[in-house]
Amino acid sequence: MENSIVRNIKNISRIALYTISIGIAAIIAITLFQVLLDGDDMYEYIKDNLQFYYFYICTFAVFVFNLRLATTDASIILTFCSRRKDYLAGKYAVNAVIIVILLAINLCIDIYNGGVKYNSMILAVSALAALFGFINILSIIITKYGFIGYIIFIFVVSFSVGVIAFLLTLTMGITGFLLTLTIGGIDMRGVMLAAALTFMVISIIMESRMVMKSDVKR
Amino acid sequence: MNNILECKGITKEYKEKKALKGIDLTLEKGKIYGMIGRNGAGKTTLLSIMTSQSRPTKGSVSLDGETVWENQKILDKMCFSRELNQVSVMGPNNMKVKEYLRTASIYFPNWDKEMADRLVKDFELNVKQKISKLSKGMMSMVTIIVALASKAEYTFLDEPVAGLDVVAREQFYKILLEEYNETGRTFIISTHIIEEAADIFEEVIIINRGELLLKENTQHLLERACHVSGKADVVDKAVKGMEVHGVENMGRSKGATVLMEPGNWIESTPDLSVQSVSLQNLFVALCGEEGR
Repeated sequence: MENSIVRNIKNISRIALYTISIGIAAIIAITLFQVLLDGDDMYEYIKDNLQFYYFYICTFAVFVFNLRLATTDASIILTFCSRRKDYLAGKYAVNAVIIVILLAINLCIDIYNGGVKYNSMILAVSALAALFGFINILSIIITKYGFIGYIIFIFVVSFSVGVIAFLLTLTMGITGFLLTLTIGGIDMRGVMLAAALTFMVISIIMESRMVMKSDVKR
Repeated sequence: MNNILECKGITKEYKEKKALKGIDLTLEKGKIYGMIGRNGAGKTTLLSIMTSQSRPTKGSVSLDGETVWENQKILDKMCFSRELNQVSVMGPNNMKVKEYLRTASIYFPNWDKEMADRLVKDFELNVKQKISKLSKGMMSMVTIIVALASKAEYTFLDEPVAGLDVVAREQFYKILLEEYNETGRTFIISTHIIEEAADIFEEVIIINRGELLLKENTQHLLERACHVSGKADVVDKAVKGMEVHGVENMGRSKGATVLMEPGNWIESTPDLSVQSVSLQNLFVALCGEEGR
């Protein structure tokens, strides 16, 4: 008989592949449309927008996939008598693989663009950890307060991030600013990475506690 | 003890409500149990706790002496086919039927794909349709397919016939009995359509306001229940010292539903009419009193 963690990894991987495939299909369609409309060379167009494509894939692979898991699949998986800790193990295992693949893609983009950039890797790890932490917190809110909580949370976070980003970009580029700063001998890159990883770990602990305790709702 | 699903002192409290109040219940393997109760009586909550979907505030559930909570060995023997909800924006509503069944096939170790396909055909379900687009009856068909094809030793069905037309209900009862005769699986079915289902319940569990009112062999229960009617003083004399429910006063006449000790019976006389009662009427007499 198949182990329950294996069942979860199998099912959650299937969901991830399905979600990412939809994202890729959509971006291919948009790219084709754009290229045909402007009469650009497709290779050049993709090359010029590599960062955008990477950001788009990250959003689908981490954000949209986990959002679907929280809103649709988690309650079904638990209703079908899976152990909660096996669901969590499956979810985190699949997410770990996705994050590693996304980092590898980032590395490939860097190599393609002329060499491995230390700052770019730090930024990618921090951003993915923060994004994963954010979606975990969002999952907790969705489970506890439903879609109303989700909408309020998204609104508050979008507004806050927008305001902060706007204020920072008024003075200088956020990325460049943070990554070059050293205050009192402390490298801000390390601080940013540590903060993102801490946020991710806290979110994992909070989500795990919630999943272990909460009732399955339908 | 073997093959016993045991609930001990199950209490479930929400912020403002006590949904279950210390329920003790023992279920044996190889029977069809009918769980009946009014809306909000706590049936779904109890089924959820039995299948580890919810954690009780107090009490425990065990199968064969082993706790059910987070025990995969035990959970692999269970299937809880929940009622699908048309208005919910969460859960499976965004899924297509085939996707939902595929997910079920991954999680239930004894999933019978052949049976699932056959039932889809019998019920004439369009598996490419989204669950949210299904009618209430079709949603019930999906839950029935999951329950039966799971081949779980202990199968819990929450309102499986809700929204089904009479032909589909008969079809369900027939398939359920065939499956039960072939496999001897244990079914625990909560339903509001008592009259039809009474014949298939080997034992009936009545939950009222979060409490276990009774759990008894359906036939034995109906044998010791009767409806007595006649002149008020004659009825009062006949039922003295007995468990009386659902008293109806009509001028100088009176009617009441009586639960007697096994082996006892009230004889009819010209002034006193004694009739057997259906499970539905007995249920109304037992649970309808507070609502009057």
